[in-house]
Amino acid sequence: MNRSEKKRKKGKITPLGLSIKTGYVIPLSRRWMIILGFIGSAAVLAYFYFDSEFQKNDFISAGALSSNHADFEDDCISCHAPGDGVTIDNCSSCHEKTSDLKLGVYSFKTHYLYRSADPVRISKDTLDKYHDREMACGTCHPEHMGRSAAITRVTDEKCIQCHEYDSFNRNHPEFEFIRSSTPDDSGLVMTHIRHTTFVLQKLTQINSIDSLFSVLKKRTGSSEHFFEEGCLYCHNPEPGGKNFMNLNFDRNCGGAGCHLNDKAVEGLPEFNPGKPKVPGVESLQTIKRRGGPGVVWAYVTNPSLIVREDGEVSKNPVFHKDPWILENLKQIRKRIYGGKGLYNLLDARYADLSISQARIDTFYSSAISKLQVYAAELRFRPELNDELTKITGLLRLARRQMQHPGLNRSPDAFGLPDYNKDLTVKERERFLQLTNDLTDAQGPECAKCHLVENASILNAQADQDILIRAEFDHRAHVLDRRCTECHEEIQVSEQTLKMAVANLEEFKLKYPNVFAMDRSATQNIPDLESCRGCHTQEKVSNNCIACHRFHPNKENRSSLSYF
Amino acid sequence: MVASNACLAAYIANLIFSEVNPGNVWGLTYGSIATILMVGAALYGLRRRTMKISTKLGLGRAQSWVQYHIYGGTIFLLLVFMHSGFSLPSGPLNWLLWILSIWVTLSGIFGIILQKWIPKILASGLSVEIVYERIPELVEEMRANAEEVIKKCAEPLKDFYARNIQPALGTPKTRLIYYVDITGGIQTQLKQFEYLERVLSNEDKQKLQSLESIYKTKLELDAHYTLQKALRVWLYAHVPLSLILLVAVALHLYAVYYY
Repeated sequence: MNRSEKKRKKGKITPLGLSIKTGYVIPLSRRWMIILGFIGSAAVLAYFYFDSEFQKNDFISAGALSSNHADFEDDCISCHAPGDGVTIDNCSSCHEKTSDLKLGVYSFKTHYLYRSADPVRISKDTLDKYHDREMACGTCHPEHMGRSAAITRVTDEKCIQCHEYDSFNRNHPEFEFIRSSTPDDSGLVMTHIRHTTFVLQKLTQINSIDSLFSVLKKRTGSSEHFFEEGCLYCHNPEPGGKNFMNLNFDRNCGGAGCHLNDKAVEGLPEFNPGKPKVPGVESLQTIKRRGGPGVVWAYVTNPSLIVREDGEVSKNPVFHKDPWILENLKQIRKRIYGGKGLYNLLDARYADLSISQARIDTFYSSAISKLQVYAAELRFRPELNDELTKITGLLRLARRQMQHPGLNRSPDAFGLPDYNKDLTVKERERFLQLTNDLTDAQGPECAKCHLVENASILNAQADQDILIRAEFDHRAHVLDRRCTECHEEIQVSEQTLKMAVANLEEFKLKYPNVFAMDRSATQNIPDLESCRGCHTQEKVSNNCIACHRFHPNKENRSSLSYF
Repeated sequence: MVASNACLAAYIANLIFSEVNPGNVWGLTYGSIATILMVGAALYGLRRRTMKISTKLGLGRAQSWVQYHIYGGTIFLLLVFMHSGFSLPSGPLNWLLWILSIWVTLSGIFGIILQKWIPKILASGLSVEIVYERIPELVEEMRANAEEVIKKCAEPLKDFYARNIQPALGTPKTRLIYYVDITGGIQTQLKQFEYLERVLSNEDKQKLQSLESIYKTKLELDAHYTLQKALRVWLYAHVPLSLILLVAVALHLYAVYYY
């Protein structure tokens, strides 16, 4: 295009020659975008204000509360402390009762103590060490997840922050009793296999084993687990089905006329107070005359049960926890070990208490109960003041052991004292022989079931709870597994049941391992691998809370007062 | 890309070492960074309106700000998802935040696409280049020119104009076909002139050609009007809601830290 053509074209656009704009073309205003934005923002703020003042403050809420807390959903301040969030104090104001002030059921301190019952875990060093791991309640129990949210279902990630295990199926430690090879502490002489057959015979009144098994198989429809009725005769489930009731002699052992059926102590030499080094048992009259702690029973016992004749004493019948036998054992211990300590005051001796702190607690509880009874008996007997003083001292010591965590709570202070130096070895052995006669397995039958050591019957631990940190619910498992599918260390089967009763010697030869394992010291509880057969990520729940509880059972608040 | 990958790597580490929770250290970090990015992106609007001061203060080139606005805004959405654990929110305010975050980011990305695509197609298939704000006045001028042309011509031509051309010259028209085909079927529309040309005299034929030229230009102005309008309107879907988003985030921070 030449210059003249350009001159002509100036001031025109498009082939049509439309006019150009002489001034600046002002873009359309975008003010309205901003105005609309501010109007929208103002609307949001206005609604927020309206909602917070006149409604339920739902707008900024992260969601509806669970049904547990729905009642005060309108009142955010019930849980939220302005500027602080949801504090432990706010949760505690409802969930802790006034008596929990020292520890609190839901506190971290209680968690450290729970199950372990080890007061060292709440020592200052421990609390300082783990202080930064402690979390507020809402961290594990988040709210605002809707009405049907189960806020007690805590994910594994919360637990793993302190307990550094990958999962139940990886890296989880074995049960403690298996790790430490802890034997069963029932304190009994007991074989399960023979007992099962005997119990079944008693229940069905069928003595022939073949007929017995045939009837049971038909009745139960099972050829492998037909004998479980025998298990359940002694191991009675609690009403909830979770655990089993503690073993009880009257219910489980003597009830069907199996044990202590018409047993007696026959003709033991009578004790002569003038010859204290000569072993003998005391008659009822002697006991009454002597007096002392724990002999009130003597005044209400039928005198015809204990007979003196020609320098010998007999008792017929004997009962379970027979007070005459126990009193004589105490006197024997007194003579062998001297009169100090708790050893000759308690009915039974507690052997291994190292299994758990709970066992130690049980020991102290029973010792305190016993000593309190003795103290009450002796309070109005001035002639027995020395005894009362001793018992009161022991009671004070036992209570202090219970109430002050951090002290050495080992019961060694109440353990076996030194021998009485006045007795020679031979004299001591004669007293121990008297113990054997007094508890003879063929006579009064004590030693048939109980372990007798050091002139003392070993305490039969009725509460067989061995899991310290985990909980196991039998009822949840009973439809999927039979008793001996898990409890298989003692091999109860048709063959062993039959042979152990029919021919014990052959049984020992043919099944030596089974025979060796069939002891009360065998825990007969499966290891973790057995649980992992079902509890995996793909099958049954393997979450931490399936077996573990962070908080103790809040129905046992009174146990917290021990600390 | 690098920033996105870094964010995703952090999230994977979060999954391995801790749990995904808006309230824990990880979640709060994602949320805090998202907030910073969002505020920075929002400041771009202020930067645009304070050119002189920004230049004086040396606040950086506008292009740098645009780049930050775009990439920062995109990473913002990723961080919002990471903060919520890639799960649906709960509660009215959280839902509002979530929806607004998605909408603002996606509308912004949509705007970028429009800004890349529309100028190209405008330059490709049209013979005129027009400033959007002048289109109404130019349409009026063309209508006046057409009225002048049609004053002294034969009846058939007058009829034709009244029926086919005059309605089109009324106002700029939006036709969605231009988004698909920039020519909008102009050639097809011009065929009606060919049919009439056969029956007109030579003088009227010249006038018809003028009208055809005016009509064609009008159609191209319509194309400009339609496409350039999109470039302006999309901001109404982006900016007001982004302001509301800012306020909603402030409310969220208040709720979290006060309660």
